[in-house]
Amino acid sequence: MKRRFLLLGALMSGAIPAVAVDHDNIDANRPLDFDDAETIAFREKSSEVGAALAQPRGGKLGIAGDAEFLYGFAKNWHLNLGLNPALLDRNGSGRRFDVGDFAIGVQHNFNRETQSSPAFGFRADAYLPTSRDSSGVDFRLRGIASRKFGRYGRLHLNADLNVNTSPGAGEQRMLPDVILGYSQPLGYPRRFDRTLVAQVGLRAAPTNDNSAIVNIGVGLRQQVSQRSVFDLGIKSDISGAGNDRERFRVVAGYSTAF
Amino acid sequence: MKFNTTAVTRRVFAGLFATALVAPFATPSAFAHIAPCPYCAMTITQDTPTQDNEVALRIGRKRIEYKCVYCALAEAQTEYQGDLTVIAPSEKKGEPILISRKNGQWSAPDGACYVLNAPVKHKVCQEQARAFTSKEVAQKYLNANKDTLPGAKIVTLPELVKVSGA
Amino acid sequence: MRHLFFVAALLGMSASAFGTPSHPLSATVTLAGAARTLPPLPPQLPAWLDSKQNNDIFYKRGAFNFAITNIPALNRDMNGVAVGHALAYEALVTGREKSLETTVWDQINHVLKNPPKFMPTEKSLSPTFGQKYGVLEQVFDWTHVSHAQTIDVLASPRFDNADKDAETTRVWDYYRDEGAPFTVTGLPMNMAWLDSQAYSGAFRRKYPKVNALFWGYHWLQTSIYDGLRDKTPEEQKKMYALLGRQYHDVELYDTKRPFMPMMAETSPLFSAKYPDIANAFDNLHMLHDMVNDILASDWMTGAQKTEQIKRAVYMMSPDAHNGCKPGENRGVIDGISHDHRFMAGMPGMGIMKTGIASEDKMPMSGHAGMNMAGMTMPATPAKGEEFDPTRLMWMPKMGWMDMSQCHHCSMPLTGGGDDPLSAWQNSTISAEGWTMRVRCALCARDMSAETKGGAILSLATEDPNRRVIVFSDERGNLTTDFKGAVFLEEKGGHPKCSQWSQAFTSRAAFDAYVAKNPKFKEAKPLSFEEWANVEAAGTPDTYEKEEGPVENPYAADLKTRGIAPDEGDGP
Repeated sequence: MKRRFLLLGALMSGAIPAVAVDHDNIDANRPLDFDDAETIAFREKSSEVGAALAQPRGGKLGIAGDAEFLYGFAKNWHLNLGLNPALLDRNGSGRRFDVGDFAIGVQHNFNRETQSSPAFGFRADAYLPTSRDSSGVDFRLRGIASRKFGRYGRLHLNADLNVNTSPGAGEQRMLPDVILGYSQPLGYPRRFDRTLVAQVGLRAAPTNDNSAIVNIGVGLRQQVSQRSVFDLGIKSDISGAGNDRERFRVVAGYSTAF
Repeated sequence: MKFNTTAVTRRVFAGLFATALVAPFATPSAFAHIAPCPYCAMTITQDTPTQDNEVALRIGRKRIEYKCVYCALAEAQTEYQGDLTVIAPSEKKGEPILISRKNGQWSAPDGACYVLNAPVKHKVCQEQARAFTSKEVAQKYLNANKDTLPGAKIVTLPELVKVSGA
Repeated sequence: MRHLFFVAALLGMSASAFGTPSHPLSATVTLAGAARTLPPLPPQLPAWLDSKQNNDIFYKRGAFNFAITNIPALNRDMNGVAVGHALAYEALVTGREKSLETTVWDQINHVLKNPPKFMPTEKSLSPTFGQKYGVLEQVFDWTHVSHAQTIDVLASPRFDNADKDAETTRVWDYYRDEGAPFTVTGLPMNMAWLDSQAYSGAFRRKYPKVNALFWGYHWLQTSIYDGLRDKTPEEQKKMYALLGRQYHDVELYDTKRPFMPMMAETSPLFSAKYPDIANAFDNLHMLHDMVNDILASDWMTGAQKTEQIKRAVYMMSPDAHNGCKPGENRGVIDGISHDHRFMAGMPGMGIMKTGIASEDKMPMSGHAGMNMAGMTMPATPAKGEEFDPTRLMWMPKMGWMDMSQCHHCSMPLTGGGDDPLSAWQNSTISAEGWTMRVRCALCARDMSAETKGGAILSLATEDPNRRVIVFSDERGNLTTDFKGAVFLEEKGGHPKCSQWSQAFTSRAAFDAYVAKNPKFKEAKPLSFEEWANVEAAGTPDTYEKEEGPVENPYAADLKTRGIAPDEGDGP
C-alpha cells in the first residue's frame, strides 16, 4: 500500500483536474496540485495529459505521466477518470515502470463565489489498486474553497483527507493534506491568455516515523487555442524527513475540451 | 391630435428610366433615399419646384449628394482621388454648373462664379455657398440677402476650391 | 492587513453563502426636486434569479464551432469585444467610475485596436461584478455563447446555406431548451418602454466615450449576421475588409448615436428569418444598456441597484412573458411591459421610440394572430391610437422609414412578383454601417451608386439558397466572384420592379423565368458586366419619403447628452 501513497504523495494528491480548458481555470496537476472550486460545465468533456521529470530524494531522475478524462454529467458535477503511469526510482533501487492506480471520482461545486462567501466545492476519489504492489481501494476526500484575492487573483484552499484502507507496517491509515494555491492572470487588461499559479502545501508523511512534508510550486498556464491550454510548472518538497520527498518535479501538460 | 402618417411623395420622376440613362448629369436631384450630407451631416435641403438645392458629386458610377457646393468640394479634396464632377445647382432650375476635376485641374464653365459666406454655417450652408452662371446674378443674390449673408463674397472657382480644402 | 484574514474568511463564510432574503426596495427618490420612482420587484419571481450556483453548461457541440477563425480579422475583433463591458462593470462596482472615460476607456480601446487571439474570459476580468451580480453574469455568458455559436455557423465553410439555416435553428433550440434557466426571451420587446425607466440614459450621458465603444461593438455584433450570410469564405473575407474598416474607423467612436444598434437595422435578412434570435440579441444588448444605466445612477443605493438589476434580468427572461406571443400587446402588468408588437414587416424588431408623449403608455390594442413569417401588418393605426408605432421607425442617417418597404423604391418587399419572395429573401445593400432590404437587383445597384464609400450587394436569385454577392468600391465599380450570373433588366415602373429586374444563377434559370413570363420574351439576358455598367436610373417613380410624428424622436435624449438633433460631425 505504501507504494501507492508514495506515488500519490509525489503527485501531491491531485490526480484529476477540477476545471478544464481555460488558462484561468485551475486544474490539479496542470501543472500544480490544487483545484479551484468550480467543476467543468455540464456536458463538457475534457482530456488532460501531462509528463514530468522527477528527482526523488535518494533516487534517480525519473519520468511520470498522467492522463485524465473529465465529463460534466450534471450541472455543477463532473466525473473524472485518471491514470498516472511512472518510471521512477524510489529508495535507490532503480527505475521501475508502474502503470499507477486507476482513479475514479466526482467533483461538485456548491456555490459560486459571492461577496460574502468563497466558492465551495468538494471532490471524492477512489483509487483502484492497479499499480505495482498496490492492494485495497483507497479514498480521498477534498474540500475546496476559492476566493478572489486582489484585483484579478484568486486563492484556493484545498484540504484533503486520504484514507489508506490497507496500510502496511508503519504506514498511516489517515493522511491529511492541505494546500494553499494562488492564481493570477498575467497581463490583464492587455493580454488574456496566461495565468501564473503558485502553491504551498503541507502533507502528512505516509509513514509514522517521518515528519510532515512542506511543498512549494510555481507554474504557468498558457492558452494555446480557444479550447486548449499548455502548462508548465516546477514543484519541490522543501522540508520533511524521509525519502518520500522529491527534490523537484518539472511538469508540462496539455488540456483540451471537446 | 392625429398625426399625418401617410407618406409624402418627394417627387415623381417624370418619364421612364431612359431619361436618366441618357442624361446622367441633367438634374442633380435624382436620388432616392434622403440621407444627411456626408460632409456636414446636416439634412440635405431638397429641391423645390422653382429652385434646385441638392449638390451631387459624381465619381465613377457613384453620385453622392451634398448639402452645398462647399461641402462637395471639401470632400472631393479629402475623400476622393482622380477625376470627378461636382454638379452644383445654379440660379436656373434644371441647369446646374458642372465643376470638373481632371488630372488634378479644376474647371467650370466660363462665367460661372460662387457666393461664399466664410466661415460657412452648415445649418444653412445651401444658402452660404452657391454657384451662379454669372457675376451679375451672383451680385443680385448677394444684394437680396444682405441681412443673412453679411460677410459673403463672390469668389472664383480656384478661391472656392482653396477655402473648402483648407 | 485584510489578506491576513483570508484563510479565516475562506472557512468562515459558508453560512452566508446561500443568499439573503430579498427586500423590496422600491422607492420614490427625490433628486434635485425631480422625483424618480423605482418600481418594485414583481411578486413570485422564479427561484433561479436567487440561485447561488454556477450551473455552467457546455456549448452545443458541432463541426461549426470556432469557424470564425477562418476569418482571422473578424475572429480577433470579436475576441476584443469580450473585454469592454467586463472592464467597465468592474470599474463601476469597485469605485473606479471616475476613471471610466479616461483610463478604462484607454484600456478597452487598446484591446479593441489590438484584439487578442483568443476570447478572454469575461468573468475573470470582472470578478467583483461577478460576485455581486452572478445571475446576471450567467445570463450574459450563456447568451454570448449562443451569439458566438450562431456566428460560427454562418462562418462555417463546411455547411451550405440550407445546412446553416438548419444548424442556426438547432443552436437556438439548444440555448433555449437545454437546461439553462438564465436565457433571454426571443419575443420582441418595446424598446422605447425599456429605455424609459427612471435610470435610463444615465450611462450614455455620463460616459459617452465608453458608451460609444459599447454601441460600436454591438454594431459589429449585430451587423455580422447578414455580413456572413450566403457568402463563400472568400466573400466573407472581402466583406470583413469593408465591415472591419467601418467598425474601426467609424462605429467605435460615434458618440452621437441616438440608440443602440438594432439587429434589424444591421442584419435585416437574419432578423426576418430568425426573429426570435434577433429579438433575443437585441434584448441582451438592451439588458446591457439597462445595467449600465443602473450602475451609473448615483442616486440609487447599492441595494436598489441590486434590485433593479434583478428586475431587469427578469424582464428580459422568458419566465416573465409566459404565454405571450409575438404581435400581442398585453400592456404593463406588475410593472413589466408585455408589449410584444414588432415593426411592420420586421418580426425581429420590437417597437422603437416614436417621440410622441404617450409612447410609454402603449395602448392595449395588439395584433393578435399575426403571423411572424407572413409579415402582414395593418397599414392603418388601430382605432384610438394617435400613431401606430409598428409602422414607422426612425433610423440615423435615414430618418423615418417603413421596414416593410423597399428602401429605394418604397414598394412593399413582398407580393410584388408572380412568385414573391418572402421578406427574408429580399436583396440587400450594406453600406455606411447599415444594411437595407431592397426589392430588386436594380434597387440594390442604384442605391449603392448613391451611397458614399464601398458597399456590398446581396442579390436574391431564383434559388433561395444562392445569392449573387456583389462588391462596390468607392467609385461604384462593381465586381462579383459569382460565375455565370445572368440578369434581367427591362424598363418599367417600380410597382413591378421585382419582376423586371432580377438576378439568376444561370442562363438556364433566366430562360425558365422568361418561359414562365412571356412578357419578357424579348428581354436580353445581361451578363454581370453589362448589368453592372447600366447607369443609375435616379429616383424611382414610386419613391416616397416617410414622415413620422416628430422630426427626430431622440431629440430630447440627444439634447440631454449635449448633442443637437441635427448636429453633424463636420465643421
